[in-house]
Amino acid sequence: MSDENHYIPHVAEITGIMQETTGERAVKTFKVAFKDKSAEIKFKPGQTCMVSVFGKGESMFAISQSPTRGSLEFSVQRVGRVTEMLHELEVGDEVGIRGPYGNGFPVEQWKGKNIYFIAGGIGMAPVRAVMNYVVDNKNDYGELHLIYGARTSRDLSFKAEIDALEQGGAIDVRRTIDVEEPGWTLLDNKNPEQSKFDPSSRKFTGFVATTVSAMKCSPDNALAVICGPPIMIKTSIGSLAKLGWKDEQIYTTLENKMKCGIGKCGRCNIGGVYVCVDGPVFTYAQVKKMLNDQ
Amino acid sequence: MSKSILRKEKVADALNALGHASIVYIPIKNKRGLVEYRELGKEASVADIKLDCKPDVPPKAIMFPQTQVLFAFKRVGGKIKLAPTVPDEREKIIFGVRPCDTIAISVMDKVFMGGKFVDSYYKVRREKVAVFTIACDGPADANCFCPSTGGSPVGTEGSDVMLYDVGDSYYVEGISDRGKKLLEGMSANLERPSPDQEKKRDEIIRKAASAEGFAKRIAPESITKLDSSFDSKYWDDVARKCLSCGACTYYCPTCHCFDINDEKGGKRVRTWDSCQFSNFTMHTSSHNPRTAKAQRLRNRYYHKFKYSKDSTGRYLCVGCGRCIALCPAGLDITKVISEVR
Amino acid sequence: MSDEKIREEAKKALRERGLKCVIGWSADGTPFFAETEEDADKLSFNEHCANNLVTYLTQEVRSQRGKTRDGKDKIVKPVGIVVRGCDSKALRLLLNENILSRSEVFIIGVPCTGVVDKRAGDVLYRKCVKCAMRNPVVYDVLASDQVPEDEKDYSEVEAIENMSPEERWTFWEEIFADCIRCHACKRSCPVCYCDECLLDPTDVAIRPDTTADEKAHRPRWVERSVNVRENLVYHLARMPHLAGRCVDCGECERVCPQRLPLRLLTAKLEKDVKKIFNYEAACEDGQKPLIAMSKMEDENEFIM
Repeated sequence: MSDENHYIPHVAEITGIMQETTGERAVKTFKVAFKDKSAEIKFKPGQTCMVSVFGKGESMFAISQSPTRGSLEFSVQRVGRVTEMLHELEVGDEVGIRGPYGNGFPVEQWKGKNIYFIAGGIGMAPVRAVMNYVVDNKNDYGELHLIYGARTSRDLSFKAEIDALEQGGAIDVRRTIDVEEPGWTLLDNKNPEQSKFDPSSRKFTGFVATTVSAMKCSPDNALAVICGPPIMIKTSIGSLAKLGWKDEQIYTTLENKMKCGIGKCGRCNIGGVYVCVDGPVFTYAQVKKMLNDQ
Repeated sequence: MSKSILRKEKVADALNALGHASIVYIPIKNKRGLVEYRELGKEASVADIKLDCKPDVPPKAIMFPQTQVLFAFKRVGGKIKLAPTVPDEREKIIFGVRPCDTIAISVMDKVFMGGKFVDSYYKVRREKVAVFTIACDGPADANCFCPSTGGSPVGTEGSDVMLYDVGDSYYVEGISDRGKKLLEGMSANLERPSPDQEKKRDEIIRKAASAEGFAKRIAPESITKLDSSFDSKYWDDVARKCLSCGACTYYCPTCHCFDINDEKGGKRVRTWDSCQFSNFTMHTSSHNPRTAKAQRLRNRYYHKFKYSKDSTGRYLCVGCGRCIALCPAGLDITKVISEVR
Repeated sequence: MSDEKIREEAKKALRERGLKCVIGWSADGTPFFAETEEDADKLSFNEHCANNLVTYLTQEVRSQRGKTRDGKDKIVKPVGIVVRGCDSKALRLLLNENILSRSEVFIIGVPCTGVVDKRAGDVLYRKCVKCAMRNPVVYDVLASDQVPEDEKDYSEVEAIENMSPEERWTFWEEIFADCIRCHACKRSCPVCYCDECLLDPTDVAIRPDTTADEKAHRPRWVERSVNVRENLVYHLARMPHLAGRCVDCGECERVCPQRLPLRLLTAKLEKDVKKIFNYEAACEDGQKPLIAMSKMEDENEFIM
């Protein structure tokens, strides 16, 4: 292990592409398979990989599928140099993969707990991996909830998969969008606690944080996993705190610019913590401490 | 013969003897007046060796080159073929390294070969390198402050062989097994030390232990103050002078930040990078956690004196003072840390 | 004594003109930002004061600009600066290019007989041995009497012009091989004020609304690899961007940690711009930029 060359990726073929959303910042899910079967990796939900598009570079992505589903997937938003090119690729094209990196979610410690998965935008990618893992081991866990928000209904990824989970009764799902659309129950972002919450409604217009408040997510024997844009994480944590949640009950994933993925290149640190090897999964209590001691 | 004498007029013969089995790097003065390490026989001749000063450029690049191709890639019939870089397997000796730079190599070893992952590119090069350190008899120049960072003008950590300048000769001492073995190979050029030479060598060590004569210093309590100075406005004041160039980091024997890019011709290349450059931490989305000069500068000082100490138990600064000598804006790391508030 | 005059003028301006600060040197020769009249007593000018401070002037003025919450321009407090002749020419260029406006700056000029290079053993910087920019050309007050100017000396440039192409190539190849691209030359240059530099792959301006296509298709003119070829592109492509703008203040050469003779490039540039376009950067107030003064009769053999 120690003398392994961590910088050389293994070549993998794209075996499936799912167009999750469209537009300038579209999201696609890529299913990949290593050319050399011996390169296959064992990973935990929440771990990440460096994905190479040769000639453009490599970027770190969360693995977006649970190891229980037998495939290696990445859900990628088109935002930069590498992802733009990745979106041009087709089934049969080759990419490079190295990893897995990072700590992953402590799913073993979570056994017996009720779990709230709270995701915004592309933050659904790591949440999908851990959510599917938990759903596939449902007997080990308590009640499961997903609160998933995006700008508009067209920006919600993994639609069919989430619908199927919901219909199968595996998990309670609430979708939220920022911009009002017909058929989506309006919540009051200004007074989230006063928002009337209709438990039978599955689709809301309002921020994720507003939905969290309106739903009155219970901290009893529970934990929350929050992934998404910084502002969404911040406000959702605020909503949970008001409902009596403790910082240790809240898990999130951090991201920073990364080049090596193995704690050497010096750019993803927050204080003395390297997000690539020490994270990306942290409890909010840890995040708070990091911001304090840096 | 772990303790011996190498007469100065025999240095050339000794180096040539070492050169049979290894590549030898020696400090020489280049065309522009900078003292740096160059390969003996290829880029430098023994006559040019410059052992009476601290080199302007540390030997960092021998283990960690500024530009290093990690692998090449090409498409053959639509399929990707990767060609890893062939490692440089040659044995190397760096001769005449100052104790600060030798300790720096140990510090870098922790960075690249410690932690959860080992950096194989560094390891392959590093394991081939033997270090012949030449002790200082006090501060080598006005910018030195190694005693403040746990070093010493006669520090032996990381050395394979130590040399002490005892006048017309070098007192030579094998430190590691490898060093002792290398000395055996040059035994034809070594003599037994005289009592007088023993005395001179002990004198150098005694003098250095007093840490006297260092104009620059960082008090331990100043470093402790970093614990509570993260949000100080002080960093804005310091950063005002900084130009965000990479001079301090590129000449630092322990700065190791790097970038990786795919370059033309199908190469993935690792290059030195600097945490002082404005886009160092910029995300693809344009979000940048260290947009301000003050944030970047503060991160560098904290990395050197706090983060590294907390995680590996040692500073990421060896007190060589090159950043002081080279900063275009006259920033002085010892002053910056001493004046933290 | 110019120190007393500098301090007195700085204090007066801080008091009467509401300056944000006065940028000068302290007695040890390092840059110093005097915010208060008390600070101003630490200002000094002596042979160790080598930095061209104009780069900081742009920083101090620009950092105040912007819009208030209700969309109005923020108030920019004028910034004071102490300049030598060479610095003042760079400052004049920034004024001429409307990067700074005259009302935003208060200038204390110090005639200069040369500053010394600590690294070379306290001898005069090469640029100071013969200097045609000893006296400030733009200022509010002068801190001491003017000093005699020298003729501009191009002998080092001419020596290179007289080399054969092969000799010249070898000469420059050796220089560029030694560059480590720390960007000190560019970062310290008073007239390199762009937010984004095409010659610096680390310096790409990305805004929240920059599209993936823009990011993906932005050319990389220079790779990050440090080698003769990339270094040569970096230095040589930098020069045309400085044509008619570089005043040959020598700051790039002063800050170069590798001690590369970068003024051989800038002095050559200045000489050629004079010869080809009869233009000299910042030789008068309000001068139009060279690039805005294209004439039909300009030499164009280098293009055609």
